[in-house]
Amino acid sequence: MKLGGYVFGIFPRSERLIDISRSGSGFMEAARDESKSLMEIQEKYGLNYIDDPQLTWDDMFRPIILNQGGFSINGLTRYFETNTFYKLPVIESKIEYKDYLEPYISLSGNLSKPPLISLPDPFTFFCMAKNNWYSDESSLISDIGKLLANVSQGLKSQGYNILVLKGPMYTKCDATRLGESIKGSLHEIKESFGGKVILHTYFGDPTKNAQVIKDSSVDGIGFDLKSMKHESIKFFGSKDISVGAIDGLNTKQETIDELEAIMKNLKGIISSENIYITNNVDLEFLPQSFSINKVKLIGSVIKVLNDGRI
Amino acid sequence: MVEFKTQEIGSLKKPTWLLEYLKSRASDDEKKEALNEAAFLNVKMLENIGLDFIYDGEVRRIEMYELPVKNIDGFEFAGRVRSWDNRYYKKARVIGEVKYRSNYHLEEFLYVKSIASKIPKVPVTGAYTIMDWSYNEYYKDRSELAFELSKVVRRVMSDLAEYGAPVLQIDEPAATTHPDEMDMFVDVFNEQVRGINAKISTHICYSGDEYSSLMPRAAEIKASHFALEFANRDKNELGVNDESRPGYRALKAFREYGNGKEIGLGVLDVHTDFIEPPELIRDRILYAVKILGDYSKIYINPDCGLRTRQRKIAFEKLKNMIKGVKMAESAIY
Repeated sequence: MKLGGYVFGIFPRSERLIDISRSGSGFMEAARDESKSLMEIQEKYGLNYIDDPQLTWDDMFRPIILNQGGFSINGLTRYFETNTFYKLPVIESKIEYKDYLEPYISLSGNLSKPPLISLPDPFTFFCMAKNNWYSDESSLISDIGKLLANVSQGLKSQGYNILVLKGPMYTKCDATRLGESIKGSLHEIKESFGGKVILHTYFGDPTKNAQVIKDSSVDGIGFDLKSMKHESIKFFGSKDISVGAIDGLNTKQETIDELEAIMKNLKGIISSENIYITNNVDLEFLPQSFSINKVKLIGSVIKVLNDGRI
Repeated sequence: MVEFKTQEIGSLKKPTWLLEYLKSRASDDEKKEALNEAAFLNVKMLENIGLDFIYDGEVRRIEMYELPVKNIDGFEFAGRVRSWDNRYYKKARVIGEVKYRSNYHLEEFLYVKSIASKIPKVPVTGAYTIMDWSYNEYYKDRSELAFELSKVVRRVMSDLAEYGAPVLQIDEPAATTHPDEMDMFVDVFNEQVRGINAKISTHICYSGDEYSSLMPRAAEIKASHFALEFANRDKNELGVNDESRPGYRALKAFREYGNGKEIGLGVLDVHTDFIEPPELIRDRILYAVKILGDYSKIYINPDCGLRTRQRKIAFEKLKNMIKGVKMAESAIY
């Protein structure tokens, strides 16, 4: 068993960047600078992949719906069981790809580890958007998949090697009814991106949709260990497993001993060759200093556990 | 003659002059006087617009979470966390036993009481919401923390009632955030209002589940009034049928489970500068009357506090709300 670690998703902005974002000027440039330093921290602490902190993303849909065809934005909607809100994507006409979100990516220069970026998974996008156009759900999922495949291809051309698809809806809704369409979309994204694709589920247990996920083309699956039984992971086959044991919702720092106990327990359950310790949800629910502590913790844990403790 | 009661939900944007003055080198007494003046202006503005239940626009408060947390022992601020876009709130860690330190609303209430000619309604952030919006590093679980906080909030409200607060509005926007914790929410809510000698209202907004987890428990919650948010999800077209009023679907559940309690009907979307025309407000009210029947139980209000809007916009919205109320009253009459 090979143990690695990384973080995915949107990072919190620093206090300084928050102030700049509210002052109305210089935000994009300041966000790029801050992204660079957050990526350097991940590199320094030995994480296996380097997450683009996506500091310019107001929520996981916004740059997509602002820059692709077919969408409008509606009212504030609560983001699952958090005190954070997203603006509802409304599908007003046929979804059309326009660009790969160049202003919203932060990759520049060479990194010593593969860069990672996160997008919404097609099923989650389907569930969390409001559809005013498509009469057929399969066509809608298929078009969302095509859109994300095109975006992914653009991101790959910019140098990203790892694509995380954020899929909280697999823990909330039944995906089996639309299983073939979902698998088709995931396959198209995987083909277009070319690099490693990891589907991160969170905010619950996705076991009810294990078959769809297991049979899909993604290379790895992420789980939120804070909100599911660890034993459920055994239902997901032998793809790479990302263990979301680092709580992105609480400042309380996990200890190496706690994480060691979790990994020892999982060792008897998981048949996968590659295991990664990750955050369970985006780190944006923490103030930035605490999120950096969590990054450092992942770095320490993989070092300690790979040095013979597991 | 039908007459709907009207109310604000709490917060208004602070006047620019006040924010500048508070940053100045003026003495503490001078700043206090400026706060009184701003509170006076808000109260009189809301009264002149025609609202029946008023407060001071929460002009002395930093924010609905930050103020109580600053005044309860056991918390330490961790930093700002996004609410949406570039809107943030300061989120705190619970690192010790939570204990009452001082009544953080009493001074403002006594001032409002001294100047108001309409009925003051004091917004108080509820224990469950304070718990949910905090990082818990001390208590064994969320429930234990929430119950400890309920004792603190009860003491704050008990004092307010003793000093003559006729209506206490417990703000619990987190109430429906975790549907599987609804048992805990109901118990904590009821614990914090136990023995309070005032009318208890609760304001719950931005429910991700359109109140589906709340409604079946509404009768058990010891509040006689539920001020809820609807306009945020509604269309802006006129009409009093289900298709025109999709934002108000939860009213049917309230009819089923509300057990005759009052509803505060949110008719203004506080997240847009769109000034709702009186005709739209009228139709939202008439639709509620059509669903709920008993108009004496329907109060009219914005979805939430209007602090996210420029003051001019907020007051225009409220003025139209009153016009819409009059139109609805005439239509029913």
